[in-house]
Amino acid sequence: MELSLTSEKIAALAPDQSALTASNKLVKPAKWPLLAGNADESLIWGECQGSGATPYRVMADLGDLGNKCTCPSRKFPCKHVLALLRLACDERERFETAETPDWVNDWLSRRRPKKTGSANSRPNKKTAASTASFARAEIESHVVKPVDPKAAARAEAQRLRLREEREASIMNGLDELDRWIIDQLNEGLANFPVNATQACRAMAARLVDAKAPGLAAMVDDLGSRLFAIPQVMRSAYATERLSAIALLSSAYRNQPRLPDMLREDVRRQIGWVVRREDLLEDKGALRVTAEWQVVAARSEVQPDRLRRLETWLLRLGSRDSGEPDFALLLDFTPVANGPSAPPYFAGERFSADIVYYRSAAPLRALMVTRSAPDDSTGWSPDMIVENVLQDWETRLARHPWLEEWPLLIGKCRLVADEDQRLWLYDEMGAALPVAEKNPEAAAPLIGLPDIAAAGLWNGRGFCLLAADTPIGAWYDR
Amino acid sequence: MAGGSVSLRPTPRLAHGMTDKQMRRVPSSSDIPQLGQSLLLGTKRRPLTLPSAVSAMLSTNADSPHPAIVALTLAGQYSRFQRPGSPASETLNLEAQPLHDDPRPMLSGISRKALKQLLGMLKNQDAGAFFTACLDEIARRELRLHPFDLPELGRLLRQSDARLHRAVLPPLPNADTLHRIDADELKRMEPDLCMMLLRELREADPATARDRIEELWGTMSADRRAELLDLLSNRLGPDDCELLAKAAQDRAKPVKTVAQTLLGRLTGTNEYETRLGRAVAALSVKTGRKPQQKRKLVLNSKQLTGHIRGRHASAVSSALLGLLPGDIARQLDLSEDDLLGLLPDSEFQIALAFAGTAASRNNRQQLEILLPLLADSAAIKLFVNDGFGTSISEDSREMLTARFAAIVTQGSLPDGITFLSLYQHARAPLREDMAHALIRSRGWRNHVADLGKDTDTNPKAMPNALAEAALLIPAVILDEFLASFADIPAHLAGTARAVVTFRQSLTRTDPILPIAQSAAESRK
Repeated sequence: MELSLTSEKIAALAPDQSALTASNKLVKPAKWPLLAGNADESLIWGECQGSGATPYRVMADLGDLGNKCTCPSRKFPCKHVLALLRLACDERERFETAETPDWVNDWLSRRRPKKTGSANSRPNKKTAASTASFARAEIESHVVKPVDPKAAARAEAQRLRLREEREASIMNGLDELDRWIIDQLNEGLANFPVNATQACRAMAARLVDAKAPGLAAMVDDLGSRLFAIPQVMRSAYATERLSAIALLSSAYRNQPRLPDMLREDVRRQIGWVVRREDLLEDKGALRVTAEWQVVAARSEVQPDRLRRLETWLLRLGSRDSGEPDFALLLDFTPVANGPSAPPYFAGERFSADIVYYRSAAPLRALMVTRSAPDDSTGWSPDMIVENVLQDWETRLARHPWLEEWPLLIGKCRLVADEDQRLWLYDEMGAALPVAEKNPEAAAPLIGLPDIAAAGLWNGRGFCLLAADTPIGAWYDR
Repeated sequence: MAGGSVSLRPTPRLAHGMTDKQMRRVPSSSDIPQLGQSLLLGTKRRPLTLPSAVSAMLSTNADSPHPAIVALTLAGQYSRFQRPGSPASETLNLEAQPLHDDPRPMLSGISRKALKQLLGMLKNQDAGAFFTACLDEIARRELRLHPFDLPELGRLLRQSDARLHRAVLPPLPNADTLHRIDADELKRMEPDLCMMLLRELREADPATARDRIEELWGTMSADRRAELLDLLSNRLGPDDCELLAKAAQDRAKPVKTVAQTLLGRLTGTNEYETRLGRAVAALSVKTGRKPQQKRKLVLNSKQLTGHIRGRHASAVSSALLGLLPGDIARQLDLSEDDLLGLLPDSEFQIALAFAGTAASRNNRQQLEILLPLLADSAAIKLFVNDGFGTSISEDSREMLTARFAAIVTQGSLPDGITFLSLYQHARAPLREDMAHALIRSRGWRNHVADLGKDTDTNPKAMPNALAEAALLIPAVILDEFLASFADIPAHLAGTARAVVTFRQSLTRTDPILPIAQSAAESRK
């Protein structure tokens, strides 16, 4: 069952405007000798007549909008998939109900581990209507394991050997990093920003060689980010970031002395990857089942030509449960042929089962199951500026590498001071500086009373993501 | 940003679980600035002096990091926990913006979504016209755009006249109170907004508008003066002569040009006589060689306008606009009735220009004679595009709308641009009887049938007037309108359906109340 297939969602999926425009020409039944879907309407497929003799076979899962087309286009999704989705959105009656053909089953079996039972036996719509966070969260599914014990033992030994080699390589990289930092400190951080880009890039490359890609990204990022902030703040920022890098290096060396959750953070930050399957099978990982609202769906191209897709979820309802208020679904796709936006859009609501990566400050998560929302639970914000700052400091003390943290502040208003700088001002008279990248978009919020604001705080500025106001919801699009 | 005196000693919340011994090891905040200096200037130039608590800790641990790294970590983490300063409350403006004081309700969530969906379906060149039509509908319902949508619609607002639409702007004086705006208030306004209000004032109260224009005259640039003067084209009369004569002496060429053009439309002026002379010289009565051939007016358009062929129709109409048929008839030794009697067999631009003149002078009797002579749908486009319609009374506008609607209904193949021009002329949906006649006409039925025949044809190549027609249909018969093309697939009828969905959402969903009203409602 698709939750809410809308033209906005389809437009968000399109890799560019030309693909979307081209799909318009295909939204006509004459182009589609076959249009069909399965009985529970979770899967659709069709054949689209292209310029060649053989029609392209197009298929899409309406749960997570996963899709496939046999055309040679390098765009993903291609115009045929977009057209199929638009037909499903606007002219659903044209899809006949049919048995899933082999070519669709073949695609399904390749995009996820095989489930027990037939390919058609999908979970019922309430309990597991769809998967999300791009990761199929099929905890129940069986992963096919190697049956040969000798081969398994050999594979395990190989894995351990590679792991040890990588640990040693990382340690060497950390030693080199420490020496580099000491060199920078000898020369003084006042001059560091002048050559930061080049210096950071060279050091980052060495850390990549040392198999510490996460740490490498932090170092590389420092060089580029320095130039995005005012000159007077650059040395202070360099001090903060180099401090975080040095602290991470030290923490990695002292892993046995760290609390379990923090150790997980440190390893991930260095570059060790937790596989999605492992997280989904991790019985000790924090799981939260609640009503959620998407407060932001953001996309950013990284220097490594990967697109970082972020979906920020706010837990609706009571704040008393002690469960995290936010979750971040994060994915990376190739710029050239991946989706250009997350599959969710700001304002969307659903019930979902979320599993968090182990962390001293749980935030990044995967969606296990998702279904239609049960009711219209509100945001229920009860935090004022002082509370959220204390909350931020507590989390920062637990997880010193937090760059930004989502906050929810209630009963506040966005105001401008004499210099037209924006502040989030609460009913107690405390204020947070707003670091708005797009002040024009936030302008209509200025002066509105009694708003609840959700945004990202980095210790210096609050970046508004969404607001619940007396005249409706606002999102930073 | 004031950091204030921040203690490095953990707050009870942060220090949870720390022993007294651990607490004693924490350095004090006074140690940090000194460390910061060394880090900034370089430890080679200014050697580090670590706080005693930290030195002691390092000396007991053989695996301790390098002292410079410890200092960096301390300084960095200290900085990370610094809180930003708060502004003094007196420097903050806590008042709501004027746009939140607007008492008009805002579009409902469903209408907002429908509007964005519609705009997303339009090609760039059509979006401005449709957006303005949507704003007209919003204003007719006494609603306004939702403030949160203004940034998103900003590009369209900047590109089109919609920026100055009443559905977008904060509440402005209406026709009854416009005359109360004085020149000082107008001077303080954004120039485009000032122009818009003056245009409306000119429609409601021509004399007061002229006074305001005279008061603003000296404060405006040459281009703005020309625009101000052009406002007089609406309800132009002999009282404007004095101001126009003064403007004709202006040193700026754009101002002079506008002044002379307008003087040329006022009988009794030298400019009028000059135009009349030029028109008469270009017109002649042609009598057929055979008795059954009818007499007609022949126009030497090159002599009249000097324009190239492509601009012929538009230039002819403009050159004749404002000249009274009676004056032309006298010069051609004809009676006015004789002249009008020649028009059915003459170029339609002549009749169109006379109709424009009659409409601007609210000459109902002459309009009744001239309107039946207009049968070409090109007349509608010309009338709108050449701005004839900006200076006519409501009464004349209604007569023209009825005639134009009849032209469209009788046409064999309506096209979208004609429908759009008709909407832009009427600035409102058609009367119910006219709209009924339209969707029941043979032309419309044929058009829909043609669209339904071959759905595989490239939509771009097919004339498709469904969306434009959707703007002209009154709300009460929108369902019937939809039913008239129910079988047309989405790729051909999607935009028309989106127009209808948006328009119906305005009546079928509850708008969002402004803050003051919603607070009052919740108190009830």
